[in-house]
Amino acid sequence: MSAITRTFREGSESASSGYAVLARDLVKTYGSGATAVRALDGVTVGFGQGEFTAIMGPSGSGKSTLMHCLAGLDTATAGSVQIGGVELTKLNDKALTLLRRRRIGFIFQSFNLLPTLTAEQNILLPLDLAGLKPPKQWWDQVIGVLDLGGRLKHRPGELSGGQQQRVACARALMSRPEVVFADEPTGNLDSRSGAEVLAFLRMSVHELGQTVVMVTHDTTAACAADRVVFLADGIMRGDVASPTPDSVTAQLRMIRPDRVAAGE
Amino acid sequence: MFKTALANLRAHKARMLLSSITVLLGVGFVAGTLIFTASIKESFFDSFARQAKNVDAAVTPAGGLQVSSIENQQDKKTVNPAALDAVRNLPDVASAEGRVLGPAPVLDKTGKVVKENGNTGVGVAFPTDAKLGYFDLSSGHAPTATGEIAMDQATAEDRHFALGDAVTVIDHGDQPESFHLVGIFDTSTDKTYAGETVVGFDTPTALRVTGSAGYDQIAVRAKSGVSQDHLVTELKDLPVLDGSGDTFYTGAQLTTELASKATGYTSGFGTFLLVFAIIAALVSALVIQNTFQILVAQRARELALLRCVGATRRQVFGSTLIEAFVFGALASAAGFFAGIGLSMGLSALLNAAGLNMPTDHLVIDPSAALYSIGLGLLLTVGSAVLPARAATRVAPVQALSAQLGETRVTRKAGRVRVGIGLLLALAGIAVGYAGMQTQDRSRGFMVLTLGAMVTFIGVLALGPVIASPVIRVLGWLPGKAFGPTARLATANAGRNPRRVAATTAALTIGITLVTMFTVVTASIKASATDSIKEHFPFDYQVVSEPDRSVPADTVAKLKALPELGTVAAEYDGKITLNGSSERAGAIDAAGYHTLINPIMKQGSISDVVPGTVALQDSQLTSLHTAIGQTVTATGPNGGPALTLKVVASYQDSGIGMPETTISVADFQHLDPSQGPDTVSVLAESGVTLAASRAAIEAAVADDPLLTVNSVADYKNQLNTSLNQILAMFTAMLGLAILIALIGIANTLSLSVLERTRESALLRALGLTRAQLRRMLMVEAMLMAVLGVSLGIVMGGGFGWALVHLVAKATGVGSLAIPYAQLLIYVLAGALAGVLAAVVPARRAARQTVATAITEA
Repeated sequence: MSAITRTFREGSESASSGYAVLARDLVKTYGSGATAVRALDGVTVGFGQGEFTAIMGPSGSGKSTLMHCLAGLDTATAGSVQIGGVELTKLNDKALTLLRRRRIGFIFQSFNLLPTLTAEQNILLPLDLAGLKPPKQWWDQVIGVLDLGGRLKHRPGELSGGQQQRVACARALMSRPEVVFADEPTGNLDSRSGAEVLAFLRMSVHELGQTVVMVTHDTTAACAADRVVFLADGIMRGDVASPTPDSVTAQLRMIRPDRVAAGE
Repeated sequence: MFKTALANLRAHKARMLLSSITVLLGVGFVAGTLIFTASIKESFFDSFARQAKNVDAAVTPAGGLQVSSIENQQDKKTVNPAALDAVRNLPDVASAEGRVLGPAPVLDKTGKVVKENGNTGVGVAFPTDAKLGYFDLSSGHAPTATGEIAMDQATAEDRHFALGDAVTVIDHGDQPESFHLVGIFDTSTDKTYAGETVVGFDTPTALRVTGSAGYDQIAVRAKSGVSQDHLVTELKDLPVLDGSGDTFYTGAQLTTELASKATGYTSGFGTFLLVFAIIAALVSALVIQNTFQILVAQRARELALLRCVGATRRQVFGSTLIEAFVFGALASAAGFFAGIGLSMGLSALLNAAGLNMPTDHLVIDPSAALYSIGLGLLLTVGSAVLPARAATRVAPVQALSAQLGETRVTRKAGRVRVGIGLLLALAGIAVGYAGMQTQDRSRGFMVLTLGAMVTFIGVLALGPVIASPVIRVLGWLPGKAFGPTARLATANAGRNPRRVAATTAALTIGITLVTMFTVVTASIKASATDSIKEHFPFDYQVVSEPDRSVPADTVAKLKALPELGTVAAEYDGKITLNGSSERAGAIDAAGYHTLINPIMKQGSISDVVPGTVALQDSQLTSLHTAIGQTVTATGPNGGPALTLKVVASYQDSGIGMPETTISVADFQHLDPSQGPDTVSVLAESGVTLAASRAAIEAAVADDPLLTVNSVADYKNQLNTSLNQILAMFTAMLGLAILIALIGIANTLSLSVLERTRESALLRALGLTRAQLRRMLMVEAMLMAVLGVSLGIVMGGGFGWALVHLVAKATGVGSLAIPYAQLLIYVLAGALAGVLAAVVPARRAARQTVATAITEA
C-alpha cells in the first residue's frame, strides 16, 4: 500500500521517521505580558503516514490552533513542525504558501468553496495555482468515488451542504498531498452526509494511502479515525488508538469531567 | 434611531472615508467654480470700474459702451470728435475727456512687431485731467504732447524699454512713427486689455495713430453742485451729439453698465465651468449611491437585528437617511473649503491653457457656500434613498442566517431593467439618427444631443447585463498572461454585475465625453487638412494684421518672384447684396482652380468675372435669386451700386469660402479702401521649400506687420490650438474621472472587507500574498477597462454622429478615429485601475490566514 502511495507523491522526501506531520514542543502565545494566553503549551505529537488521526478536546483546548500551526496557516511562537521532513517554522510566507498548495489538503467546516467557481474549478484550484493538471486516471477515480460526476459544472450555491463537502474532499485529495487537514468537516452536515464524508476520509486513508488529520468535537466522527489525540488547555492529554465511543468519552471525561457531564 | 445612525457612521469611518473624498471633490469643484467665477467677475468689474471713477456723465456711440480691447474693433462706431469741445464749453462741465482705444502696433528694439497672445498692441488716449485718468503711472509722466508716448510696464520690462528711449509705432497708414518714452504705467491687474501691449498718447495723437474717426467715449466731470441727471440733460441738448444714435449715461448708470459688462464677460465662462463641475458632482453621486448600496448589503445582519429588537421599517429607512445627511453635511462642508483651494487651481489651469483669466483676490460669496453645500446634501441624501429602501426590505430572520453581502453571487439583472434599458437605448439611437438626418445644423445638434443622452442612460441601465460578458471577454488576455489569479479576478469582477456596473458607470461618463471630444477634434484636424488639400491647396500665405492690408507693391513684388508659381491676392470684406449684409471675398483670377477649388453646385468658380457673382448654395434661397438672375450690390461705405449676374453656386465648405465671391475688380469698385488681406502662393515646381520660403521672407522682410505662413505652419497652429482645447476639456473632466477611480478603489475596498474569509481560504489553498494582490489588481483593472471601453464605444459613436452631422450640413468633414490615442486611454484606464487597487490589495494581503478563516 505505502509503496503505491509513494509513487503518487512525487517530490516528497517523506520522513524516515514514518511521520507525515511531526510537531515538537509547539508553543503558541496570543498577546503579551499579563494578558498573554498560551493556546499551545508545548505540544509534541506525530501523525503517521497513511494514518487517520482525530484531534479532540473541549472548546478552547487549542485544537484549532494546533491544526493551524501544523498546516502552516499560523506561525508557532516556539517549537518545530515538520511536514514530509520540511521544517515549517523556518519558511517564509511565500514558501509556506507554496508548501500548502502542493503538500497539504484542506477541508473546513463551512465556507470551503469559492462561490464564483464551479465545482470542477474549485477542485482544480490548488493545482491550477501551481500550474499543474491531475492525471486523468486519478481525477476519474476521485470524482467517481465521491460521486461528483453530475455536479462538476454547478456552482457551490447550487449544491447541498453534503455535496459541497464532497467537493471540498475532492479538492483536498486531488493534489495527492502529504496530509489532509480537516477542521470539523462534518460540523455543518446532517448525520447521513456526515457519515458519507467520514466514510470517504477513511477510504482515502485505507485504500489510497492518504494521511488525514481531523479536528472534531464529535465523538462519532472521532471514532471513524484510527487514532484520537486529546488536547486540553494547550497540552496533550491522551492518545487513544482504535477509538470506540466508550474509550473516547472516557478520555474526554478525564480531561474535563464537569463539561462533558454538562453534555458538551 | 438618530443615535444608531451616528454610531454607524462612527463605526464605519474607514469605509466612509473614500466615498467622502468623492463628495468632497464633487462639491469642491462646484464651489471652486462658483468662487472662481465670482472672483474673475469682481476682477473684471474692478478694472472696468476704473473708467467710471470721477465720471458724472458719459457719451458713447450707438451700440453703447465698449470697455475692452477684446471687443470687436471692426465696424466700430465712434462719437463725433467735434463734440468734445462743445462738451467742454458747457457751463456745468468741469472737464471732459475723449477716450480712444485702437490698434497701435509697437516695434521692439530689433524692429519686430510686439505680439502678445498673437495680438499686436493697442493705443489709448491719456487724459489731460488726471481725475478722469484710469492708469497708474509707475514712473515718468503722462504723454501731453505730440511725440510723447507712455507704455505698459510688462512690455517695457520684457522688451527692455526705459524712460527716454525711442519707441516706434506703426500708425494707421502703415507708416512707422518714432515717439519719446515719457511714462510707464501698470496694467497688470487690468482686465480691459487681454494681456496686450498698451501704449498711451495725448488725445489728438491717439486719434491719429489709431486711425479712429472719433471717440469711443466722452467722459465728463461736472462742476460741484451739478447733478448727474442735470448734466446728462444738458449733454443731450447739444446739437452736435443729437441724432447720431449716441448713448448717454450718468456716472451711476455707467457703473451699473460696467458691472453688467463684467457679468457678461464672465457668466458664459462660468456656465461652461459649471457644466463640468456638475458632471463631477453627478459622478460622485453615483459613487456615493453605490457605497450606500454596498453598505446596506453588508449590514444586512445588523439591520435585521435592529428589526428583531423592534425597529420599524420607517425607523430603518430614517436611520439610513440620517446617516446620509450627516455624512453629506460633513463631506460637503469640507468640499466647500477644498473648493477655495480648487478655485486657485482652476485659475492656474486656465492661465496655463492660454486663457487670460487672472483673479486679483478670491471672492467668497455666502451663496457659493449655500449652493455647493446644498447640492452636496441633495446628492448624498438623494443617493441614499434607494439603498435606504433596500434596507427596509431586510427581514428580521436574516439576523440569524444572513451571509455577508457579496459572499452570495447575486441574481441576474431584472427583466424590467433590461426592458427599460433596451427601450431607452434604442429610442435614443433612433432620436439621434433622426437628428443626424436633419438639415438644420443647430436643430440637428440639439436632437442628436438628446438622443445621445437617452442612449447613454439606456446603456447605463443595461450595464449589469453588459458587464458580465464584457468582463469575461476582457479577462481573456490577463487570463492568458497571469493564469489562475487573473481567472479568479475575472470571476470576481463578474460576480456582482450590478455593483460593477454602478462602479464603472461613473468612469464611463467621463471617458465618453473625453472620447467624444477626442474624436471630434481629430476629425476637425483631418477635415481641415483635407479641406486645404482639396479646396485651398496653397503652399504659403502672406497675411496682414486685422484691419490692415498687404500693400500693393508687396503683392507685385511677390508676383515677380521666379521661385513662385501662382500668386493670388485675396480680398475679404462686407458688402450689401439685395439689401442684406454679406461677407464677400475676391481672388485674383490666377487663383481659380489652383488656389481655390470650392465644391461647386452649379457653374464654375472661373465664371466669376467682373459683372458676375458666385454664391453659397444656401444664399440662393435666402436672397431669393437663382442662377442667371441678377442681384444688386453696394459697398460698405455706400457709393454706386453694381448689378451682378449670378453665375455659379458652391457648398459652404466649412472653412474659408465666404457667402459671396466676386471679381477683384468689382470688389475694388465696391470698397476701394480695402486692400488684400492675404496673398496665397503656390511655389514654382522644382523649387525647394527652403528656397521658396526664403524668397518670400526676403520680399516681405521690410514690412513688420506681415506674417508668412506655410501650410505646415497653418496645420501646426490649428493642431496646437485644437490640442490645447482638448487638453482643457480633458483637464476639466479629469476631476470627474478621478472621482470615478476613487469609486473603483472604494468598491474594491468594501468588497475586500466582505471577502475576508474567501481571501483567507484562497491563501490556505496556496494563493501567495503577491498572487492575492495581483488578483485584486486585475479585478480593479478589469473594472476600469470595462468603464473606459464602454465610454470609448459610446463617445466614439457620439463623436461619429456629430462629425456626420457637420459633414452633412457643410459638405466637409471626415471622421478620424485616433486609434492610438484611444488605446492610450484604455491602457491609462487599466493602469489607473491597478493604482486604485493598491491600498485595498495591501490591506487584503496583510490579513493573517488563520484568524480570517475562523471568523464567522
